[in-house]
Amino acid sequence: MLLSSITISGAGRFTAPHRIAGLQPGVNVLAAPNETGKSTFMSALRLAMFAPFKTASQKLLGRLPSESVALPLHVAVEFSLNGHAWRLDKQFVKAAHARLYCDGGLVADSQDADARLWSMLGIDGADGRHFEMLWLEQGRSIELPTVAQSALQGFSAAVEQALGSVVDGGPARDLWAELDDALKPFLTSSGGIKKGSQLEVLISGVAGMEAAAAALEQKIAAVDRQRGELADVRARQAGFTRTGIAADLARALESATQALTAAQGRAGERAVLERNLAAAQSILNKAQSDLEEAHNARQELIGLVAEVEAAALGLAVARTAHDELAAQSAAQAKSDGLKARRESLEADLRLAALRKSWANAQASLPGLQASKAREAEVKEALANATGQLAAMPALTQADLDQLGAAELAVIKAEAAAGAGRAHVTVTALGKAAVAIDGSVLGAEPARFSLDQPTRIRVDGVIEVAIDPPAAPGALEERLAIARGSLASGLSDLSLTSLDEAREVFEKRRDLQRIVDDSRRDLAAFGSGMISASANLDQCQSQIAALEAQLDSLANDWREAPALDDARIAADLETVVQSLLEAEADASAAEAALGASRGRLDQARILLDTRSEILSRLRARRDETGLDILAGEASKRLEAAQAGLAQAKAALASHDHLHDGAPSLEQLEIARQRAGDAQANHAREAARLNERRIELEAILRNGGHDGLDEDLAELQGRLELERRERNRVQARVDGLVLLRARVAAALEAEQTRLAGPVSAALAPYLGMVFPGARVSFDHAFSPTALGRPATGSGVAPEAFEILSMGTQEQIGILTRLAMADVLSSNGQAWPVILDDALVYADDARIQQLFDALTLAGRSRQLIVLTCKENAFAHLGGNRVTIEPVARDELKA
Amino acid sequence: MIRFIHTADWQIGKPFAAMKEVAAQLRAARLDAIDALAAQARARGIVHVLVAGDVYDGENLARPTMLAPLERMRQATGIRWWLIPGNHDPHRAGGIWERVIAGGLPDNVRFCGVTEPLEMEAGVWLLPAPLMAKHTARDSTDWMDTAETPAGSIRIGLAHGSIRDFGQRQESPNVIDPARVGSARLDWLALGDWHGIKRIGPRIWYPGTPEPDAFREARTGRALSVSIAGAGALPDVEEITTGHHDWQEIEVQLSDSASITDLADRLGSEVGSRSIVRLKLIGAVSPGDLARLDHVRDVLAARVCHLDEVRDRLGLALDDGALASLHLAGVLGSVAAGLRETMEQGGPDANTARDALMELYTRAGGA
Repeated sequence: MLLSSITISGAGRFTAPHRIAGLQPGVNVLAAPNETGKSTFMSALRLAMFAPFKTASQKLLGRLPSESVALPLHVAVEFSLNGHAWRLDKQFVKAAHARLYCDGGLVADSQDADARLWSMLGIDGADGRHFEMLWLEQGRSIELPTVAQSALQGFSAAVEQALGSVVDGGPARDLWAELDDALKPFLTSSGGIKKGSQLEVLISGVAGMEAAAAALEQKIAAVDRQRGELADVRARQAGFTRTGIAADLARALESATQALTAAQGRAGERAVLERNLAAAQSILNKAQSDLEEAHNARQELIGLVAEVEAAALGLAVARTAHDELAAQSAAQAKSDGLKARRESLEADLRLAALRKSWANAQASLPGLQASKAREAEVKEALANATGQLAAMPALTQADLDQLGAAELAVIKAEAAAGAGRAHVTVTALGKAAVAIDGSVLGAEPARFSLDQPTRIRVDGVIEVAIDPPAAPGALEERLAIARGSLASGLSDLSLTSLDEAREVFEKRRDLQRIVDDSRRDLAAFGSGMISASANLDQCQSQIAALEAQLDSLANDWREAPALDDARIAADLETVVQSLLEAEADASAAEAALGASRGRLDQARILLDTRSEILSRLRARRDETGLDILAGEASKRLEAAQAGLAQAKAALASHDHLHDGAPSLEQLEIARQRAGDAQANHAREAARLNERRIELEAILRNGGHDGLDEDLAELQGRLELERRERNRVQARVDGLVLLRARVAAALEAEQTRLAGPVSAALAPYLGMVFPGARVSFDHAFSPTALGRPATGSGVAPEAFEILSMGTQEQIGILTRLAMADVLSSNGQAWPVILDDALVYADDARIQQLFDALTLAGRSRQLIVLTCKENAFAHLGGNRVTIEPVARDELKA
Repeated sequence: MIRFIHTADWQIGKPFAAMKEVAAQLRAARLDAIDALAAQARARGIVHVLVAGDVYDGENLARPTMLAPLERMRQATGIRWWLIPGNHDPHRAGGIWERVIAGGLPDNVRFCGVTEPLEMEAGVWLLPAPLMAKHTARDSTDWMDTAETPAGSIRIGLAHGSIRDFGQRQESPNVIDPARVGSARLDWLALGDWHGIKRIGPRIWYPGTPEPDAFREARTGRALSVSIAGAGALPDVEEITTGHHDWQEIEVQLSDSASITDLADRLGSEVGSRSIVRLKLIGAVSPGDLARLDHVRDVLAARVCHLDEVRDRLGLALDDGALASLHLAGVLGSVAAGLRETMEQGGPDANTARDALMELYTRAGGA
């Protein structure tokens, strides 16, 4: 098909006929400014070609540009088709008609003309069908090349013709939509399982049950473990009983204990033996010492015995002499006896006195010892008091008196100074005569000044002398002197007041008293201690000497008198008296006794000597058995030597007997080990018993009751839940599979359908987007652009995100391709682009021009543009809109 | 002369939870089986009932479950029950039998928890072989060889386990040597564990469980009535029926409408209200036959005690004609062909492809 001219009238600004003429094959360019009616021409062409000639005016207005319309619309289109020259003359609204001429002759009019035309164009009705794709209206260049369903059907028919097969995507797409709806309750848009869906609830329910079942299985396993442990515990307890290990351990402990006890006994025995040995050695040493001492004592005793024997001999001589004297004079005898008696009594009396002194001294000893302690305290108090005294002012009683006098003087002076002028008022109250300065008072009160010395006298009672105070000046002077004296005295003593002086004095006096008392006590202590100690020592020695003397004489000379000092004194006095009498009596016989007096004196000397010896013997009276002791000491020495030898032998025997036996430490370790083992065993046995009781209680208390049933119940429900989950899952899986298969089939079909378009598009696309590829949906709308620049494997860019210019360019190129597909049946339909390429930049527009030029080689291309300059580069056949005579329109 | 009932594998407490609506009924039936055993014993004048293990289904049962069989036995006056523990209820420390014993056994129930000869009656000695663990590698009956009983006594073994060379591997647990009958001079070895009645030898039997509890168990729901005239005499064995329910697993190959008709006929004669049925359908049916099959299934479900239908292996028969009837041309035609190919190839997606094809078929107006 080749359009030659288009003439219109009654549309837009074209109230008068205008024409685009000179349209040629290939590219035709109508470049004119806006508002010159380019689009009105295109709209009128569409109406003429596709609208029934009886189309109502309202519909016409809807299909025309919004410019003013000067109906009736009259359009004449000349074109060549199938080798013939055709003219369509069509008028709408008023005097509407349609006439179709062929090669100059009318071939159809009215509805026939429309029908004939549409038949030639391959369309069924007034919607233009595939021309919707080819004749791009102004302002739609950016839109996807979506077209009406009828247009698509027409195009699809062309594609089917090109493919040689049926295009059938509609039911599949409907089914896909149904499946998608069916899956929406189950799956999210990304294919995940929708939360809260039946499937998700089932899956989570199964998971929950599986977890619960696992927990129950764990509980049952725990119970099984407890049973196993209980069995083990019982087995161990039975093992204890069977093996008798407790008894073994007890026996081992007892054995170790016995061994240890025996060893400890042996050690004790050995210690005893060692002590015995030491004791025997000690006894031996002592025996040897005793023996030596006994020998020495014996030697000394022998000497003493010799002396005693000599004394005894002297005594015998004295007795003999005494006997001789007694025989010579009874008086002398009496005198001698009395003297002897006196001496004895004197000795007894002396002894008693000494004993008393000794007892007193003994009794005074604690006191002396206490006194010593007291002495130390007193010394300390003395030192303390002495120190304090030294630190205090040396204040004496005289000083104090002097200070007191000074203060008194001050007081008096102050009193005198403050007394003022004194006076006295005297009233006689009775009969007693009162005279003042010799004047007897009357009944009225009399007032007397005391400026002068005054005498108040009550007869027979009292007389009072009142001296007037000194003169004021003298008083002040006296007071100053007194105060100075007092201050001076205090200052000399480093004191501030008389009260302080008195306090210091009292303190000094107390301290001095302490010092004096202490010194006195110390002096008393010193003399008392010395005398007491001396007395004590003396008494003790005297007592010992006299006791020895008397005891030694008791047996062989006279009975020892009772030590009753009073009786002794009385006896002594009697004896002395008798002696005096006897001496008087004996004086007569004194002469007779003169001859023997010498022997008597000698006897007395011997007696004294004997007494001394006997006293020494008495002192050594314990040594009288020294012979015996010496003998016993020898025996003891022998016994001690024997004992020592025996002890050594016993110790050696003991050591020999237990030579090689375990040491005490070894036995103690063995005992400890046996004890530990038994304790460990006892603890373990107790632990096992406790654990057994605990496990039995746990297992009998029924905490696990019903676990098996619960588990089986849960597993049963789980199985059912799994079945239901599997059923729903299978249904979802089936839906998903079916949807996927439908989608895949649709995609494959679309790819197949898009094949002719893609093939036709390739040359144009290669000029603008070298190496690029465009994907289409089922309605042949571009969905994506894949460019080499995106790299291999890079997803194509969605059409929606492409730039406006790119979208526009793809759209135009796709329409060129569709035109090629449509022309595959041999008819090349013209393509009209009304103000397309709005967004193309200068560089891209040149490439598009190339593509348009290429497309113009196989069909007519009419390009309407307001961009005159830019489209000047497109080349092609330039056409214009020209007014024509109304007649020409009708022709 | 001794007469006794030999039973085993009561497995009281088995929950049958997957049977949902009839689970309680099935549990009750296992207890009723005890009454049935007692009734059968009384009918024959039998005093002794030997229970060869697995009285209970597990060790952690609720107390009412645990006590229920004891009460049934207590009420069976005149019957003396001899029980041993099995692998489901072994007599182990802290196990169910300790709890049972602690709670007290009925006077007419004798629990044999140790391996020692027990005189059932004059001249008749029971040699029990209680299981003390779920699994034991030792033959629990080996002690019977040396068990002493008076000369001329009837010796009856009571044990629970698998018979060696009985289809299990040699190392299977709880294995019992069938030669024990000879080595231990047993007149009868009463076994338990096998849920179907099974004769191992003239003196060795499994009585099966008295109440069926699973599919694929032949000759179940029974017990044995045994008479032994004297030591060494061959036992006289009678199978007695005690079960209530009839468990059937029916596997049917379906291919066409006729096969569905056959199935309906067969089910009409083979199942009843006591039947627990697992219907396993295999093969393939056309979409049209599926509706018939569903109807047959519903009728069956109404007739039996419980129906468990398994269609995992039931395919959809969609031939060219069926597809053609849907006029699935173009894209949908290719989809249907692809799904049918996937289904027929039998791969992992075969079932899903079948479901998808059925979905397509339904949505395309075919069903």
